[in-house]
Amino acid sequence: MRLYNIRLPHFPPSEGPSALTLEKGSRILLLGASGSGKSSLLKLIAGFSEPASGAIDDGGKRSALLLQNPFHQIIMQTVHDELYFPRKNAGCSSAEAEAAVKETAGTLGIRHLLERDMATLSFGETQLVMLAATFLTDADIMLLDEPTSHLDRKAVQACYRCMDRAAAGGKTVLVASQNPDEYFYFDTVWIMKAGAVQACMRSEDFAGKHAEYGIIPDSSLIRRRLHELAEKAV
Amino acid sequence: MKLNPFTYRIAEGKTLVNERETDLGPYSCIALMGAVGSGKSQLIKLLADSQLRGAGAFSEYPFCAYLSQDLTRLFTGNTPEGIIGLYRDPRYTVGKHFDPRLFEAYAEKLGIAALIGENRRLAHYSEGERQRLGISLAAAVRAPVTILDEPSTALDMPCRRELFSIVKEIRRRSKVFIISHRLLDALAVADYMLWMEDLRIRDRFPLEDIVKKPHILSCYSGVDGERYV
Repeated sequence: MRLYNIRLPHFPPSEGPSALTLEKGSRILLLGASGSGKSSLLKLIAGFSEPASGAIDDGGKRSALLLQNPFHQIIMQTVHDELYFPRKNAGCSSAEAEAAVKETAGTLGIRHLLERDMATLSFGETQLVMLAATFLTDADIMLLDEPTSHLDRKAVQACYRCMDRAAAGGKTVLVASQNPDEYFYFDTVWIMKAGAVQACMRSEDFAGKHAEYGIIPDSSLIRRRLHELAEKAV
Repeated sequence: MKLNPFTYRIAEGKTLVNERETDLGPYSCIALMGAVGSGKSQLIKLLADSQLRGAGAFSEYPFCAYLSQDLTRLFTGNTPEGIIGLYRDPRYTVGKHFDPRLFEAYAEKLGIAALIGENRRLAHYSEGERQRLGISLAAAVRAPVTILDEPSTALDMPCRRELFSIVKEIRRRSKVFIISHRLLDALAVADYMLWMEDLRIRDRFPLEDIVKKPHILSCYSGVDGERYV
């Protein structure tokens, strides 16, 4: 899939790479300030809206979108059914679907939730279940909108293990996030500003450049604060 | 305020437990931390939801300002004017505590004053914009207790810094409970931590003691050998 000069509605024209490619098997991190248009871009790629200008060549690829608020896309009563449905929908046999549900639930550490009613889950648990449901679709492009916002570290690692496996299987994964500390899980970093992707770089190049884009990771501030607390404790 | 020993049955096979009494009196900002599904939001509901007072989890139940984890359910079908109207309505308890001038100041700090002025329907707000509106509203309620459930979700660092400064301000007049999955949030504003595992409060300590808790620090990225910027 390729994006040409995409600009979102309600934003002024801006400079940036003229074409962006969502390559097969690539893992892309989309960073940007609050209100810069990350979610809108994902919805646009998923086909829910049209750009103000520019064009999308989807190359016949299909996409699946995990919304920022996972409560908005629950369709089934139980966790098991929520995960079973996308596999059946993709044309799998019941046995194949069951095996895929077990495997993905195992990777994401949610097997113990399978028999639960969706309405009894916490926000973080719902996020993990809907993440699993997205990975269980047969889409070529996985669009994940802040999938780790309500997750602890173990669950974040499990999420990205699932992403790696999907990418190794030829899927493209595009993740919008507010957490630049997670950059190293990705191949490419896109930086969004005022409704357009303004920069695109390999993730190893991002490490030294984040300050140029006004991006401050938690880790730098955490280390400083822990140091202060350690001195106070002495 | 004290946290009492209690057991509260949430559902079949799911019980929230606290084994010992803790005096929260000396602390102004308490961070509730723990893994996904460890019971953080459930515990705070025992304080915020008047129908759950029977569980006896807390020694007192003052009026709480509350920022919910899921703002979309609350806000979507309305405009900022409509929501602010509800907060100002003196027929509701919240209306007696809401300070419109504080709200305007916080909205300005969080960079959404102009957006609110447009009075667009909240369904068209981004998640981060909705979060900033929710924080401005909850922080402008002058209540003895303020509960913020994952307030930094969907916020970038400049907005989070404003959030931290707002929390530091309100904790001078209100006991603040903050739930988060990001260690920095607790380090920036809290003076006490309740650490939850498997629906139990497993540990409780003044924040500076966190440097002696490697098993808790290891639950967060950015503090050990994992790669980071």
